[in-house]
Amino acid sequence: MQAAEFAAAEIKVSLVGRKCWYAYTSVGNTFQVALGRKIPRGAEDLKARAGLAARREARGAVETPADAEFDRFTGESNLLVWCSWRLDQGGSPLTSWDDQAGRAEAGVRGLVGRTVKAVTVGPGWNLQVEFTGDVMLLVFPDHVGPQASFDGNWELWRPDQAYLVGTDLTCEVIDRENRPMQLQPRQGRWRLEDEAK
Amino acid sequence: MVRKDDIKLIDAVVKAAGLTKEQRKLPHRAISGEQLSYREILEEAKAIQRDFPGKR
Repeated sequence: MQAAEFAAAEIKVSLVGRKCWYAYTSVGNTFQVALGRKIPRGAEDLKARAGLAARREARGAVETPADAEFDRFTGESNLLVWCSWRLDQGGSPLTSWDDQAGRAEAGVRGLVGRTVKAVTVGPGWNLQVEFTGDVMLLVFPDHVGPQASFDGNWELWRPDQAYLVGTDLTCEVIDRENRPMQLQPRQGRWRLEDEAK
Repeated sequence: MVRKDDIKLIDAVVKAAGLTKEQRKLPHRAISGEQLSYREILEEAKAIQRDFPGKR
């Protein structure tokens, strides 16, 4: 099995059956959702997020109890989308990256409480995530080339490693210390590139 | 502002501050729901880098 195929299979397994418990939108209607078990964050991460929350409070930004919970816990899987996306329900569009910020936020927050039923990773790392309630998230990696709007498309973060779809439409796998990993096909697992050489 | 221009702004901040892929998730959360200038986001990114250093 090739690395891309292997990564796609792991991404599916990391999403299917997991319930979304937190979702937010940010700059340019990019967003992140947290799914599965709630895993306590590490000390450094907690410290950084405590500082972040304090600065937000000082600026008068709205912080909800759910935001505070996300600053204490990470999901078993976290999907972070920097590129174009659309949410459909019952085959009709609900909202998309290009919608008004309030509508996009409401759509994304509407994923909370829904469970992933199925995932399709298509050519070019197009991603379709089907949630309960006939809600479909479609992600289109449109950040390509050296002048892309952002250096990345979408990312799936797990406690042990992350899958990052880049502007060359390949999926890079890194560990949580930002070190690239390489598939060991015979063993069917990832190893640090430095150790694999 | 065109939404992709907003995304370009955060890309520029990430590059200017030299954030890793792990670190850049934090300013994404930090500026959620706010309208901040490039300078303000850059300050936020630098604070995050200070609190969340190393390879991460």
